[in-house]
This record gives sequence, C-alpha cells and structure tokens, in this order.
Amino acid sequence: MSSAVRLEDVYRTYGAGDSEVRALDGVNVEFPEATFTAVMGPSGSGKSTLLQCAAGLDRPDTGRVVVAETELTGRNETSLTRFRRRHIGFVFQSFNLVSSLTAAENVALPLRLAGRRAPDGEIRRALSSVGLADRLGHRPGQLSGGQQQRVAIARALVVKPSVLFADEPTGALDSNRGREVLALLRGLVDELGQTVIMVTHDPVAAFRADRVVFLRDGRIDGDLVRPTADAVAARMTSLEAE
Amino acid sequence: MMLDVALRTVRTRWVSFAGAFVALALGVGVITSIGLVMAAASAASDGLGVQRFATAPAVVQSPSSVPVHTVKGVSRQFAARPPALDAELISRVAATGAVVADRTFPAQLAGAASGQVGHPWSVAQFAPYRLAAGRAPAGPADVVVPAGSGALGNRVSVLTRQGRADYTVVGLAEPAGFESALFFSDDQAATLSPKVDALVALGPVDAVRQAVAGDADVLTGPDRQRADPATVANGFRSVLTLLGVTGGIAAFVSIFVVSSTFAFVVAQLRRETALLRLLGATPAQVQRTVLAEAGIVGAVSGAVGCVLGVVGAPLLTWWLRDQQLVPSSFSAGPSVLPLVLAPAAGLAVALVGVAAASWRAGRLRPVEALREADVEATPMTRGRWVSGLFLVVTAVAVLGWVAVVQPKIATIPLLYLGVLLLPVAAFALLSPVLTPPLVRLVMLPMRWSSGAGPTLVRANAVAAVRRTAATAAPVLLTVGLATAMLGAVSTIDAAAMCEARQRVLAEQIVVPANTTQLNQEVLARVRATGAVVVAPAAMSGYTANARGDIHHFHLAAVDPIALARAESVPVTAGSLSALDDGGIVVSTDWNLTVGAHATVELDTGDTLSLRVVGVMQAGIRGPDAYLSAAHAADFPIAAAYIAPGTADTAALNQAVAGLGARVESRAVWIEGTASTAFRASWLGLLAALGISLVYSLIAIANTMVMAAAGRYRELAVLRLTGATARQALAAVAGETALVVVVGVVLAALATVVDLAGLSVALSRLTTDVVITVPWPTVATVAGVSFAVAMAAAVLTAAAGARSRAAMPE
Repeated sequence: MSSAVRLEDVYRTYGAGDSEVRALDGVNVEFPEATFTAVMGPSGSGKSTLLQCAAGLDRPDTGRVVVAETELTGRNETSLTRFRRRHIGFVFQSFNLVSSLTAAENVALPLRLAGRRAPDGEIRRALSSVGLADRLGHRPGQLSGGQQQRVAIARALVVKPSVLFADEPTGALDSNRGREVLALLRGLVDELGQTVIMVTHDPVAAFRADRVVFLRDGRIDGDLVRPTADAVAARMTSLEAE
Repeated sequence: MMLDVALRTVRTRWVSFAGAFVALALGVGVITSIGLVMAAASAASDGLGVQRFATAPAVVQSPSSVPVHTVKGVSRQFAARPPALDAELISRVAATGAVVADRTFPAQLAGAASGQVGHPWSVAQFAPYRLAAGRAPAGPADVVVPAGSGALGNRVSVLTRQGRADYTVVGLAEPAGFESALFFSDDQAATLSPKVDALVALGPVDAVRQAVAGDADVLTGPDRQRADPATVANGFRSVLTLLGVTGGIAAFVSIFVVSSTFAFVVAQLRRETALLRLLGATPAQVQRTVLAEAGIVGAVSGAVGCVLGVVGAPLLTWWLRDQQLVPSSFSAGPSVLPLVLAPAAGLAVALVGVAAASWRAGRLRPVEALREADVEATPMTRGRWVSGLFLVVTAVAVLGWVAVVQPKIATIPLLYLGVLLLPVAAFALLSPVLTPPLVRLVMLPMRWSSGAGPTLVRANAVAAVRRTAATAAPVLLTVGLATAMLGAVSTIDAAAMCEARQRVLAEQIVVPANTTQLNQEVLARVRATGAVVVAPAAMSGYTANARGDIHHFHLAAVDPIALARAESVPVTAGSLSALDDGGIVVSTDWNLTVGAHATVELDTGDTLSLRVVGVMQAGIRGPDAYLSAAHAADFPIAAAYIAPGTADTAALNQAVAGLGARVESRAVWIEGTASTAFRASWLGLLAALGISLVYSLIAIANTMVMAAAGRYRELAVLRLTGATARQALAAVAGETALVVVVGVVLAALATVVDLAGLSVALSRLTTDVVITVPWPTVATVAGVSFAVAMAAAVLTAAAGARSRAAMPE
C-alpha cells in the first residue's frame, strides 16, 4: 500500500530565544492510503502543528512533506494553495462555515475558489452523502452543531481530496452527535477508500481509527494498530503522567 | 466568482460595511456640496459680464501688474493699485478718435452705506447708467445720486478724500448692481481725483492699439470685465478660496476616516478571510475580494453621496448668503463636473484606502481562521511605519522652516492650516505604537484596583491595539483639529493684542466711521486742535534681494517725529528720527542693515530708491517699513494716532463730527479694530471647519458602533463567565472611555507640537508670546466627542445583548 502522506525528519520551531517552542522535533511518519489514522498526544505535544505541516498549512523549518506523491516543501503560498484545494480537505472543531452563505453555497465554495464549475447535482450529492439533502438552502445559523459539522465534511469532500484532515472534529459536539460524525468518517474510509487523518484527544474517537499514532514533546512515541478505547486511554494516561 | 462572494459579504456583514459606507457617503456628500457651490461661484464670477464699460468699444487701462526688476530679469507682479494713465499716453490715444476719461474715487453720501465711489458723468453712458429723473451734472456743485438716496434739489453732504463738501442733487440714476456710484461733472471729478484710471477710446480699435503701443492694456470684448470694480469678483474669489480650503480639509478628513474605517472592516473580517484562504483561495484572490468589496461599497456610497451633496449644496449656499459672502441672488445649480469627480474620488479613496488592508488580508495565513483571540502580533505594518515617520519628519521640517525662515506664514490662516494638520496626521499614523504605553499610563491610577473591570479594560485595549488605535483615530482627528486651530487663533490673537499694547502709545485713535478711509479734512481739523497726529498712509510694493527673490512688503508713509510720540517702534539699529525723504526704516524681514540701499517698486508703478536709516523688529501686524510723509500721496489712511497728552477727547470728537470719523480710546481700539479683521478671516475658516468637525464626530460614532458590534460574541462570553448585563456594559463603557482618553492625549501631543512651532514663529515677530488655548471650547469638543463615542458604543452593545441569546456561537 502506498502512503498518502509522508513526513520525513520534520522540524518546526516557533518563537526564538527563551520563548522558543519546539513543536515538531524530528518527526518521521507515514499515513497509508485508504486508512483512518488518529493522532493523539497531550496538550502541547505538537498534534496540531503536525496536522498543519502535513496539510501544507504550515511550513516545516527542515524536512520533507510529501502528499499524494507530491513534494510540498519549497513551494510558495499560491502554489501551496492550489495544491491544497485540489488534494486536501479539512474539517475543524469549530465548523468554520461562512455564515453569509447557505449550506449548498458553502459546499460549492472550494470548487468555485478553484475556478471550477459547481454543478448542482454534485453539491446535492455531497450533502446527501452526509445526510443533509433537505438542508441545501439553510444558513449555518439555522443548523445544529452536528449538522454544521456535516456540512463542513461535505465541503471537504466535494473536491474529492486525496486526504481528509480533521482537527478535533467532535470537540464541539455532544457525544451522540460526535458518534454520528465519527461513523460518517469511518464510512468514508470503508466505502469510498478515503484517506482520513484526525487529530483528537478523545480515546472514544481514536478507537474508531485503524491506527493511533502517539506524539509527545514533538516526537512520535509509538502507535497502536486496531486499537481498543481502553488501550488508547491507558496509553494516554501514561503519556500524560510522564 | 470573487465578486459574488464580495457582494454576499457586503450584504450580510452589513454592520461592518455600514460604517465604511456611512463614512464614504458623507465624505462624498460634503465634497460634492462644496464642489457644486464652487462650480457655481466660479461660473458666477466668470459670468458677471462686462459691467462698467458694457457699451464701450475699447477701454485703455494700466495693466494690473507692475514690472519688478531683479538680478534675474524683470518679473511682473500683481498691483493692487495700478498706475495712473499719463497725459502723454492719453493724448496719443486721443489722436485716434474721441476719448472719455474715467476716474474712480471714494465719494460717500453722508449716512449712506460705506463703499460708495465717484465717477465723471461722461462715463455713465457706457455702463449704461440711465437717468431716472433730473439732468446730468454740469456745475461743480452738481451731483447725480442713485435713485432712492435723495430727492431732486436736495442739498447733500459728500465725503471724498479731501473732506466734506455740499452738493445739489440734480439727477437720479437707476442703481446698478455692481457698485453704488455718485456722478459729478467731468471737471469736478478731475478736481476731486486728478488721476485717470481708465480711458474709453471710441476710435478704431486697431489705431488705438497702435497708439498705445503696449504701454497699457487695451481691453475689448469680455476683457473689458477687467476694468470692472473688483469687489464682486473678489468676493467670489475669496469664497472660492474659502471653499477650496474647506474642501481640502474635508477631503483630508474623509480620506483619513474612510481608509481607517476600511482597514477596520478588513481587520474585523480577519477570520472569514483566513477561512477563505483555508478553503483554497489564493492570496491574490483574497486581495481581489477585498478590493471588490471596497469597490462595491465605494460605488454605492458614491451614488448616495451625490444625492446628499445635491441636498447639501443649497444649505451651504444659504450659509454663504447668510454670512454675506455671496450676493443674495447667488444659487448653486447642478453642474456635471462635481457630480462626476466627487464620487469618482470617493471610489478612488475607497480603493486606495483599502489597498494596504487588502495586501495585509492577502498575507493572512490560513491557520489564522483557527485562532479565536483578537490578539494581533504586528499592528504596525512597514508601510505605516514608513509613512508615519515620513510625516513626522515633514511636520517637524515644515513647522521649523516656518518658525525660523518664514515666521509671517504663521499669521496667514489659509497657508498655516495645512501645516497645523501635519502633526495630527503623523500622530494618527503612529497611534498603534503610542497606544499601549498610553493605555498603561492612563490606567496607572487604577493599577491596584482589585476589581475585574479595570484589568479587563486595560487587557482588551492593549490586546486589540489596532482596534483601539482605529477607534481613537477619529477622536484624535476631531479634538486635534479643533484644538490646534482654536489654539492657533487665540495664540496669534493674544500675541497681536500684546504687540498692539506694547506699540501703541496713543490714548486716542481716530478711525473711519461708515467710510473706507480717513479724509484730509478730518486730519486737518484734528491737527487744528493742537493734537500731534501720526496718520500712516498705507502703500505696498516689491523689493528684490541679491539672489533675485521678490518680497512683497506693506509700507507706511509717516511723520517720524509724530510717530515716535504716538507709537513705540522697536528700533534695533539706526533711528526713526533720521527718517528723511530719501530714507526708509525697514523691519528685520528685509535682511538689510543701516546704510544699505533699498529699491522699492510700488504697485502704483513708481520706483523708490532709498537708503536704510533704521531697522526695526518685524511684527505680527503693522507695516514692514516706514517712509517719510513726503511719499504719502493719496494712499489710504486707515487710522490716525494721537500722541498722548496732546488732545482731549471732547475736542477731538467735536473736530471729527460729521466727517465720517470717530474717536476711539486705546483700550477699545486694541480690543476691537486691532483684531477684528484678522479674527474674521479665521472665524470664516472655523465656521467652514465646522463641516469637518461634524463629519469627524459622525466618524467617531460610526467607528464605535462598528467596534461594539464586532464584539457581541466577546460580550456573550463575558456574560457566561458570570458578568451581569450591567457589568458587561460597564466594561464596554470603560474601554470606550479609555479609547477617547487615548485619542484626546494623542490630540494633545499633536497640538503641543503645533503650538510649539507657532510660538517659535511668533516669538520671532513679537516679544511676549503666550500660548493661549480656549479651554472651554476645546473641552466642549472633547466632551461632545466623549458623549458621542459613549452613546454609540454602549447603545450598540446593549442592543446586541438584547437581540441575541447570551450564548457564544
């Protein structure tokens, strides 16, 4: 199985002098295609930085990032943006919908930003696949949190991304709505062969992944394949205790 | 696509854009109004038509400029009193055909409104003036007066330069709009005013031109308008200047307000912009979106501004008529140019104002969308540093140059205004740097307060530096503009009065009453009481220095002995008593030393070659040089100063009775006449500045509404943390108060720079300069700014708290 995302010797430091923070301290990790990987770690372990570097939102100081067999290192902002909008989808904890646009328009936005047509059928399909076929014309303010997150997922999927990145996608939802969203992501991997990389601190969420990668102080600290929630929780407890 | 997103953003984020919209629409409205009135005034000034010589084929007149000789060659300069036509030239023209000589001289019916002039009857036919009744003046005691100011056969008193004389009304002329004239027989007019001011030539125009041979202007067709009395055209010209300055200030204020408002909108939309970047918008796309947003707002508000301008123009016209700055018949109709230019300028201002902000928006990193807080790392962009520091340097350089090299500019309101604005603009640009330390300073007294309020207020103001600076900016502008202007007016006024107090020794001053100048009879009668009188005859002329620079100076022809008794002239070298017919006492502005040679080319065309016998300190008012009374000729005399102890007031009053003059005490004269003329020009300006002040007050409200509306979410969080509604509003009020105080302090700093420059300039003109600021007025402006800001912020926040559930999104 080839890898969808590969990080090689990635270092990323913020600030300078006394306030220097080593967010990533020599990270080597691969995320295979059509798998669901969770990235976990205590607060400040570098989870979000890892995700942002892998997604081309942030640039490593040194090291390589390869997504869909394309090297991201050394590209300028415009070129990175073009790459991202073709190959990468995002889902975030705060759903980040444009409040002035309807659900359908939010979903169409990435296509239109890329200068592509956004056929109604395609938009409708994307929203149906997250179970929101009847909410096309609603504004974010008129939708529940779970519905908003599903619109965000539809928006991420509409460009048919090589990789879908999710940063704490259930963080702002109650447990029932959170479970629905996780089931949706799981389904994408199983049924469509979508690659999903999710940052979370919730062992219940991580349990739905194929593999959990642990991060501590900016370094990879082992992984668990086919994890159980208990194993994940135990591992997290030990990470946080150290 | 981007236009589509832009349109939607504009439509739904209307609170943010409403601010920019209001700022721009009002700015365009003000500029359009001013533009419409200016266009009308300009057209009215051009369209006055030929008046005094409407039916004359050609008019020969001295050019309204005189040649001034310098080392670089001859330069022609404006002459307020063009030279008379000489007899030789007149006889040359007379050889080509019939000629009629015109003379224009002060001739005032006792009791009529000031400013009447006299003419020989022969030129009346060319206006044309028509007799409503009676006959033409023939004898030396005949006069034709405007219908309505006398009855045929009446004996009337007429005041001329010579004094009072009685005439018999033999005819009534239908009044003309451009002047109020009395007509005398040609011989009597020649006696009263030997100088020929213009010559109507009835011979063939080509022959006339040939005869004149370039020694004077031959005016035909519309050019004959140049021979009309200057008052009406001058009136329009000064209105145009006034409106030009008002428009300039309004433009300055609107560019300032609009660009800071747009920057504010862009900053408020930071998260949404970053989100677009996150979803795949390239930096260029984001930049284009922001520009498109500005374009949409600019276009729509430009159109609305046009409508406002058309509504506002009659109001401005009404004010100008009310101030008697324009004739009551003046009105501003529609004209194309302002209606096209003002909105186009508005659109340009919107785009230019947003250019920097759009660039910043384009540079936003997508991950910024994921951040919650409003903390800004770099509120000062490089462009802002560069332009801010550039303005600081320019402001200091210009203020310094005026203070050291050209102190007189500080006393010319129209010129000095632009200088006063520079520090205000500089402080506005640098405000993000100055805000955090200022906030800490202002909050210092509350440092040990244990309440959550002060901590929260200080933290908010410092964390969102750009927002604090942006909301403080209109306060800085309003208070800074008012304080600098009012401070400058009263400081100059105080310095001028102080100078007058030092210089004027006379206890009584005879001034014109209902006439434009003192006549010879008044002076003779006053002297006859035994009073020692100095009556400076005011003239002006040009002199060139060794480098070829031309300076325009006001001169006064005086009796130096009397002058020394009635005025204390601050002579620094040589002496006043040495002033003989070939001498001159110059001010330090001339840069000449005693014994030097001075050539003065008067605007009457005469050249005086003089020797410097004394040098005196340059002053704020008063003449730049004294000549001997031998040069007085018929130059106007605006006041006669009586040497102390040489006359009693009752005798003086009796002497001047009925001669168009009155006696004023020293105190009254210093308080009144000394400062009236000067104050009037400043006040006209200040009244016009009112437009800009009202506009910037609206900008304050506008920015405060925008800032408060952008913080509903923050307030909701505050409520959730346990703040009562009252506490949340108190936090808003506290921060608003802080912002206003920061703005006022910045304004105070700008004013200190302004007034420091002014005081250095004035100290070079007079000795006791005391910086005077009209505190009550300044406090009122600051108080109104405070009230407007507070009302806008608290009402918006309260409305937001009511209309929304207290839950953060």
